[in-house]
Amino acid sequence: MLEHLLSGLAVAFSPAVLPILIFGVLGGIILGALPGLTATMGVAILLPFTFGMEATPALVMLIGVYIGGIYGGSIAAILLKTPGTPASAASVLDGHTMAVRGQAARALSISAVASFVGGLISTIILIAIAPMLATFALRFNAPEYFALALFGLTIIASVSSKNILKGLLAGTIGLLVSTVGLDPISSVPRFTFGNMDLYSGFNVIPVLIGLFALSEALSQLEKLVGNKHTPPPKFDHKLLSKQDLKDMLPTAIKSGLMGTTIGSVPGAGADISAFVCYNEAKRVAEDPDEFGKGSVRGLAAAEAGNNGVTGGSLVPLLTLGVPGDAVAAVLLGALIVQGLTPGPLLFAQNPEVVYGVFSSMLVANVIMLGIGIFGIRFFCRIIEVPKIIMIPIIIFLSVVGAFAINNSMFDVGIAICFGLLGFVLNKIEVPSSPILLAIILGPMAETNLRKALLMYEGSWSFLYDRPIALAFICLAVFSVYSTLKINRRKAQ
Amino acid sequence: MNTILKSMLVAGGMMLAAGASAADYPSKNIRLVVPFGAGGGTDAVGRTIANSAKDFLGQNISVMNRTGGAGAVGMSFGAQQRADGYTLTVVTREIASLPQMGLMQHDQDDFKLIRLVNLDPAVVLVAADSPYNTINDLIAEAKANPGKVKFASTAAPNFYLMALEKDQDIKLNAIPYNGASEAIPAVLGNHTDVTMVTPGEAISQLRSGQLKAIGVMSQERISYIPDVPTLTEQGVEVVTGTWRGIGAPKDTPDEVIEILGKAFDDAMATEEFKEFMAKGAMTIHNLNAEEFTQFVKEDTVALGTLVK
Amino acid sequence: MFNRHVVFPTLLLIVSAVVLVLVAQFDAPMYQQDASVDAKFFPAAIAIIQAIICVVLLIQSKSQAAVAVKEKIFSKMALMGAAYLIGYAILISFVGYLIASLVAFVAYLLYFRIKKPSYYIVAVCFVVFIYYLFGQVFYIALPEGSIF
Repeated sequence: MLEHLLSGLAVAFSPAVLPILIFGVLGGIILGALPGLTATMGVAILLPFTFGMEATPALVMLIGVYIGGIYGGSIAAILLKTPGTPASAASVLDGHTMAVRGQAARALSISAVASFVGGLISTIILIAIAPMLATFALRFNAPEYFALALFGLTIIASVSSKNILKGLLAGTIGLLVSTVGLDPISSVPRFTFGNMDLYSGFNVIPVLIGLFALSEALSQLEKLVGNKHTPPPKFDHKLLSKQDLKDMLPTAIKSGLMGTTIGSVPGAGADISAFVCYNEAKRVAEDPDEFGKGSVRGLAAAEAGNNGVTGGSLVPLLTLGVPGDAVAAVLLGALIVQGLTPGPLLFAQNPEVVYGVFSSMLVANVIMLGIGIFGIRFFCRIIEVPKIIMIPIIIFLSVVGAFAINNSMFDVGIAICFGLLGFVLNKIEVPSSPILLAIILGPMAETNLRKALLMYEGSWSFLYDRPIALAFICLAVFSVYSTLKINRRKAQ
Repeated sequence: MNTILKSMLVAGGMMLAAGASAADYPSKNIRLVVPFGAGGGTDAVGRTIANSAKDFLGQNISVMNRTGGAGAVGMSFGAQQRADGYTLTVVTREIASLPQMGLMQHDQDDFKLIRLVNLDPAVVLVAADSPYNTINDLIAEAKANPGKVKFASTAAPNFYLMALEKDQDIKLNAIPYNGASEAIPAVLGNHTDVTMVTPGEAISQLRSGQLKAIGVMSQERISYIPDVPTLTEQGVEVVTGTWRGIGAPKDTPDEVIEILGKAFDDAMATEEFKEFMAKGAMTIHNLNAEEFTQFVKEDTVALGTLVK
Repeated sequence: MFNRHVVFPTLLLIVSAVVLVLVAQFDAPMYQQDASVDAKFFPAAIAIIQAIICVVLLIQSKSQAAVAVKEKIFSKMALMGAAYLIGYAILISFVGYLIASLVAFVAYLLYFRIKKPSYYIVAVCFVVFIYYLFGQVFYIALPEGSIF
């Protein structure tokens, strides 16, 4: 194994592959940072260009885009409060708060280091125990997904720190929105009013763009006129301190491990992972009140959590030949076009490809860290751009992003509606991240509950006779309990 | 006044259309609407044929994913575009099923079909250690215990399963998953007993032996899995599968359709495309415009008997 | 009189009621057997929970109604912003991304009486750059208008 890995590293550093890898990571970061453009889109666009390439460079480039794309979303989330992907929405909570205080460089460096730690850990786990993890992941089915989603939904309570009721209200809005469209089990149209565009429901990307980017643009616009003479936030170029590093490392490592596990389960991706890790970090923290107010650990948990998925999602792809998410599905296509058979055979027949992929993932994470740290000076310039010119730029990029996800002006309309909704909610102190969380997790909870009931012919016994499902349900109960406890402590 | 304006607009539009059909077609980039998301099989076929055909047309073909409603959104969108040959659509089997179920407002008649590209049968798959070794084992079990055999369905409703159920008068417990990438792990993890997908969707599990194919739903055995007998060989007369082709809005001029048809013929004959399809275990099935139109008509009738 | 902490929960209460009425009118499933928890269960359950939360919030706001909020929900500028967004989207659907964005950006700068030419140059460069990046580099289609 070690020799394969070493020869893989030699390939990754060879002059033919390294530039491709750097190009891939950089391109991924740019795509990820632009709202609406996702890693999936980037990988799918590049796929036809890989047909003429050899297997290893082709896969290396696609994986570079993937790793960069997951990270890139956070830069925009921290600096502009406009997460580039749903996976980086959890980074807004603490990262943007830091940036507003003038600590943009600190937030960006924490994000880069945490992403690196998460990505590295998940790659190492992928290399070490992929087959074992895959066997574990196969035990997940409808009951487990339902329990996982239920646990995820309890996070709504913990991200709505000020007033839990208002957070829950936002959650119900999101859940209702998520039921629009053809019901996935029985194909009954729900709240579609005969409109074809509503048949598959609301896409999460336009909602994200509206709730975060457009509503932020509107409130900036308001501030612009309200008091013209606000000095731009003074910010230092200080990166993270040694103390920060000490504070964040345990959280980042734990989140990386959790992210890998979540990623290895087909159907649960970086967005869920980021929120789950954030919630877990808050639950165990001694100072849960700090979360949402610029906590180092909160940001690190979200960042390590979403990048931890990168290695995990390759587990089912490489060991079972089953794509864990949309990016993995494109990678599956790329492998097959190269004449390779993903699955157990791949390790036996083409170890050079497998270990080429593994080692280039290691290198890609290092490149990501490098770009992330050395780019900070450049990224911070974005804050210095006068607001008056930044606002229309955010608006135009948002519109392009909302359109590009499905080539639909209807989605642009959705983004604008949710932009107005997010703006109003902001004014009445209702948090908007529960809406996003509910739209991601609501369909997962509903369809899997109903699938499980079909599977068990109407019996609810799956809730207690499947150990993994039971574990998640206990976690959900525990999560609600500890949030209530924190709140009571606060009230006293 | 209003009518004058309208007729002027119509006349102008006709002139524009006439201009488009002139000999200089294609003079700009062409869009290909794919009604399914990036990363799926339809997307891959669309992107590859676009990539191969662009050399014969001398213009770029950019792929545009427009997803939703199991393909309905993208195909309806494609049907409503300007009929100038610059917007084409990947037409899938859903065009025959969805309109009859009231889930799509446009149907075959809203398109001029250009070429059928790909036709894949469904394969009946069980886990490697499953007690079922032939389709008749499965049917016997389903007859003994109606509604107990768990079927991982790739869509709701599932026409592969409905065809078998109707023919054999059996009932399985169909659990709807979101596509083959969810249905296959459900069988691998022994959460369900059986699934039906196309060979390309399960080729890696078939090659590695994680899944066992107990029958292929085509007329003849297929080259990618030559050891798997057809259902017909096993005495069960069910043939079903899925297909993908290319269409243009219904008013597209015939000369344009002809140019495009020729280009797609050439594209399907390229080594690049053939190799892509072979490696993905997908079957190229080239039907010309008339054959394709007739084919869809017959399939619509066949699906109609299941839907009713 | 119109306290935002009263108006918003009231509105959502009405939404929940409408949802419940709509749920009752869902079609019966045609092709697929369904679980004991059917297509109506989730929307109905969520609507009821939402209604309960709204009622609790209304009671809460009664007990602490003394805190009057002076600032308006929609300042004039925010309304302008909303109108701008909608106008921009409508413009795109007529003339396509490139022209609509150029027009909208320049109109925005004129509205704020910006005199520095550099801002206008940035605006034009930005729009053209995006247009080029998406269309020519990424091959991602940008919105086309019905006229152009």
